[in-house]
Amino acid sequence: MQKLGISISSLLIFQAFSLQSAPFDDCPTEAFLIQKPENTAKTFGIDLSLGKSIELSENMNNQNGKALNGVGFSDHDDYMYGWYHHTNSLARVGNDYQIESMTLNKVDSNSQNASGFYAGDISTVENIWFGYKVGLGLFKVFIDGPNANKMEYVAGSKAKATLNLTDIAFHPDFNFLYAVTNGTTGDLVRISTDTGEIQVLDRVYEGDKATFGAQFFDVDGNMYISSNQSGEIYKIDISNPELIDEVFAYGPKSSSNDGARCANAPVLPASGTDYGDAPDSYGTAFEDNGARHGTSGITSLRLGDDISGTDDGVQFATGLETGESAIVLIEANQITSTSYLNAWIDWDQDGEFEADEQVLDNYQASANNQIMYQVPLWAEPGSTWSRFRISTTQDLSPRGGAPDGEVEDYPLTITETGVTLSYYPSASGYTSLVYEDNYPSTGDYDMNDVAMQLRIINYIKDNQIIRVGFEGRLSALGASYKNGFALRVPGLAASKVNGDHIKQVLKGSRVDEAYLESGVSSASIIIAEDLTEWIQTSSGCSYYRTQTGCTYENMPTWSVTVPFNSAVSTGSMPAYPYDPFIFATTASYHGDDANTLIGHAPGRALEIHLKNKAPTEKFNNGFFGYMHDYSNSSQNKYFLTENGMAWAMEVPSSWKHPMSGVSLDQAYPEFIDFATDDSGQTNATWYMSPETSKVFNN
Amino acid sequence: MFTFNQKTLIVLLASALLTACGGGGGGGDSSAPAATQSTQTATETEAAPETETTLETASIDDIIIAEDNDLSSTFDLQLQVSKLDEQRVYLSVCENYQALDNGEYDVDYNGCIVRTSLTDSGLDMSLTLANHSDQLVAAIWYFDGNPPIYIEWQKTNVMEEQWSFEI
Repeated sequence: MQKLGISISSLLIFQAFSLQSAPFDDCPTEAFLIQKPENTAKTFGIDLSLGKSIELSENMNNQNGKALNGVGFSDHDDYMYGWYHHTNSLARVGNDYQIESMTLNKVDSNSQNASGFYAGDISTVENIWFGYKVGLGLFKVFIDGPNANKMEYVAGSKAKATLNLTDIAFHPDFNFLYAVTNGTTGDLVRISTDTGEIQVLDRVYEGDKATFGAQFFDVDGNMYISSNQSGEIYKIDISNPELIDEVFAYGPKSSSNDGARCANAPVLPASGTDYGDAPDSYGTAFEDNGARHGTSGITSLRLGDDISGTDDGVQFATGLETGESAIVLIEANQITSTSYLNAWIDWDQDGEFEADEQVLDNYQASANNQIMYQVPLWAEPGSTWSRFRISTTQDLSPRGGAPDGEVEDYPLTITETGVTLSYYPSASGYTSLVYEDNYPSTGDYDMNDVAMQLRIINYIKDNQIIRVGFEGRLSALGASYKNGFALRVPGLAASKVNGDHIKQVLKGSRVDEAYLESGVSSASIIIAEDLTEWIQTSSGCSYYRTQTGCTYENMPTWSVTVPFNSAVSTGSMPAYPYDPFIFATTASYHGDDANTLIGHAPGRALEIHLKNKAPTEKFNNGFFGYMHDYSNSSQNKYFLTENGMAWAMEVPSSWKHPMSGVSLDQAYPEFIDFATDDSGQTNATWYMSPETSKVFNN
Repeated sequence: MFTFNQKTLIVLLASALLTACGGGGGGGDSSAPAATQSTQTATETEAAPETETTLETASIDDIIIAEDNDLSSTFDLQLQVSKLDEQRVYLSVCENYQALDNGEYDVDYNGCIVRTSLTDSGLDMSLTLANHSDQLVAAIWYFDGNPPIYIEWQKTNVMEEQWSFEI
């Protein structure tokens, strides 16, 4: 009984307020859609960036199933106004979403005879509602001021009203109405509020038959039009209108639709939006209309387990060989009967996902999907990107916002048929090359003057290597000297390498820093002349990633692909990791020892290699036996001290190097027994057992 | 809030630590990281004896490493695969995986060492592995809609590691 009492009293209060409902918040960013399924008018709020809609009002209290159309949002008083067919008059909607009909003073016969408006909006200049109807013309209703509630015909507009428009929208700055016409082609038109003259500006739409029942602006002068039939939302730059070639967001479909939005509000990315991470050219960031999905925590439809961080839903169970079948495994969570997978692979490596590069087209998702697909013969061997999207929305394209689901982008490698990919140490792991750069004197053995993580990929066909790829990331620069980094392949003649087609990517962008060095017999590829140029240390930091807090964004990553002029037998290649070395940057001071020996900064004449790896012909052999160096080229002993210690080491993991000034044996106590046992069997995994406080952890 | 005694302890430990680590040379040591370490150490009252233990052990300057010892921490594994079946087969040798209760394997194909189609002549190649790598899985896919076959390798710690199988 008590419950009933409360509901009756609240109903009374509700009715009292509905006569004088409160305005909306000041210029909200969402768009409003008024729809009338089963004759009940409802309001939906739409996040234009994702096409995501929520029901704001389940019943706007429309009478006799009559519609409210031509709705516009007034930034002058923060109410919505639209044409109410039940009273054949303008009506106001406040934040309770109830229709309040107004009484109009229709001052001329055209106004008195006008009815059935579908298209209307509130001017952004004055608080006036403009309504348009084909065959009747343009009309205006003053909302406030001395002429409040007056409705008048725009003289001469009847003869000009020849186009059937379903919505019109005011530009935020210009006092013009804009609209896109309906059908299989759509023209952008501009309507003068003074004369009703309609100017056709540009063809903006060609495609399936579309009725653009909801049309909006944002504060930057972009127009958004929503197709009733597909629910797709398109964005038009009014300053440079072009034929629409992509969907901005995938919104709800509707048989009838009317839209209103505060034209002075920006369209911003929604919080919690999931994005891909392929390079910009694929459409990744919001500004580029990147693929994006609305998320809602653990109940979100998603690929794999993780929705916001790691990409974990897709596994390429087989490699991708041109002209052959391949298998991909896709795991999905929170699927329904309407969860769809769409996927693209940039087969031609042009930096875009195109229609003929779609590999999954509305594939109905299960929790675990094992899918076979075909790599086209025309696919370009090399590194490229793929994009996987899951959503309850069908027909997603590689770009644009979807209300739910997830996007995951994966880099991948395409090879010719029959190519073996051999990774060292693995396709996701790195080995670490760590250097002490005080050569030819011993240093403090913190092994972090240069620390480079490296991965080597061999492309093998018929037991012949056809090209080599190197991928790396700079893990530390703990030195005050400047050093370059190079990769040498002992025994591989430089003439075997096609130096003109070495391809390098640094921090995600193509660069031309890497080159095949001339004047040396074995192929030697310079990766960087001066590694300090790759990073900036934070203020107060002398070094990079060897002192607490002294980092720089992410570790700079790089890759170099080295093609061969003719294939090289696998047996003729040296053992991993070949011979990666550092050298003194040209004309850069590298210690008194080198200056004393050579008479000036050593540049390429000073190299530091792994123990017992011979230097290149550019090296100054005067360093042999100088200071603490104990090399003996006649016995093939190089870069070792009298005690047999090295200036450079390979550690086969993404190694945590010692902190600045902490010696190797302090940070890794097991190293001593490892190094002194010739068999290498004692403490063989010494590098996995650090004194945690003495290594760089991050 | 620290008591007077706790403060004193931090100062003492901090100076002990600076003395212990200060001889490394190389120049440019910032005092900032050392100070951070000392604060961490202060919470563990047993830190001082550990420092003494380190001093008793041979240091890198004292040891002799054989001239031929190139300090490598890797080993080789000879992989030999014979192919009996004429069907197209794709082989991945991967190091990150999990054996599931149902006999299946959850393989991370992003972390593989070899990816190859198998020709009729099979495969014979030498893999270089880090000393801490002690198991691998081979996932063999037939393009007939069936799940793959998995074959595992475990390190045996013999001088020449070998892994041979037929498919």
